[in-house]
Amino acid sequence: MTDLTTEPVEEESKPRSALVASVVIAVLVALLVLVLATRDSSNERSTQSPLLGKVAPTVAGTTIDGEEVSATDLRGRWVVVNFFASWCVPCLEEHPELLAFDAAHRAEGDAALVGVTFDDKTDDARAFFEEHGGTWPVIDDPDNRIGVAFGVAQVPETFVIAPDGTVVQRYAGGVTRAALDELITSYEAAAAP
Amino acid sequence: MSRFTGPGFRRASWIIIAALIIVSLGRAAFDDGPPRTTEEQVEAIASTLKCPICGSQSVADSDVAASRAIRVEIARLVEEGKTPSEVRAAIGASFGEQVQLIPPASGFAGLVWILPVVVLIIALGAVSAALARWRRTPLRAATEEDRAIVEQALHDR
Repeated sequence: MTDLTTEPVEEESKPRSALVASVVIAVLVALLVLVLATRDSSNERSTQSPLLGKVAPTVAGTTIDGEEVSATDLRGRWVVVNFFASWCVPCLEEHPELLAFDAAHRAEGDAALVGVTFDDKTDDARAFFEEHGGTWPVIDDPDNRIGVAFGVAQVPETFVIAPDGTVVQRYAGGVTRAALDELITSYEAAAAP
Repeated sequence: MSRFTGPGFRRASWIIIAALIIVSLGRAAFDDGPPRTTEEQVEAIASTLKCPICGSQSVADSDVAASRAIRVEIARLVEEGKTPSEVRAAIGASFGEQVQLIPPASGFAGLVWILPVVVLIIALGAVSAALARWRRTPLRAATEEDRAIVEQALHDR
């Protein structure tokens, strides 16, 4: 009868080379998955921002009351920049917290609050403040240029700028007076000799 | 042997197929020149940026406030004479690099461009090696003895 079996050496080398190829491809695919998996998810409403630790973008313009204002004039104080819109329910919910923060720090003079409109009409923003109170300057930003410079994705968002002009915190969503006070206190305690 | 079935023809066919693949990949990887108008440039750049709050939708396709604001900023930067990569970098500096729909070509993330090509080359090499091995394997013709066995088996059914 004809011997139909192949050479034994060839039989052994085929599985070995297949195994090596499989391992190499598996490693490469695993690397690809690792690269993709370690990229930051854009769906997270996190407090991360590429601006943290960097000099804050320019916060200047005409307020909803027609006055010129610039955050650089407030250098040497903590500046809390709050992006909001009159149609935004979470903005309305956080407003009492901002009123409390402003009342406390306006007297002390150690921190200032600056509002910036985001995707809002000037008249609507003015009506919002007339109805709910608040006397801090609110910059009218019809093109959302300041918002884009800060990377604002969705209002309300609040950025805290240290007295030296660097961004130290970003709050995505409503902020509280307690959180702002705690942040400022912790930074000042760390900076104290 | 026909001139359309010989080894030369087969080799030429493989070369043509390989050339078509390379040209197709090249056209897919590199766009065919910059868009002409500002609107086209804004559209082209916005389509490479991810909407910050709506999953994988691009800034060009999204109508949320943040995407509209980014499109306005892109238009402003384009009119200032910034290149598309400079505009993308400016937006990334504010919103984070995760808004880039096209991964950077350098650094660790650049592996997403290289690894698929490496895997493809290895796979093509493996297929070529397997085909070459099959071609080298001699065909064994059935012997009279084999035929007799088959005939006996058919007869016994």
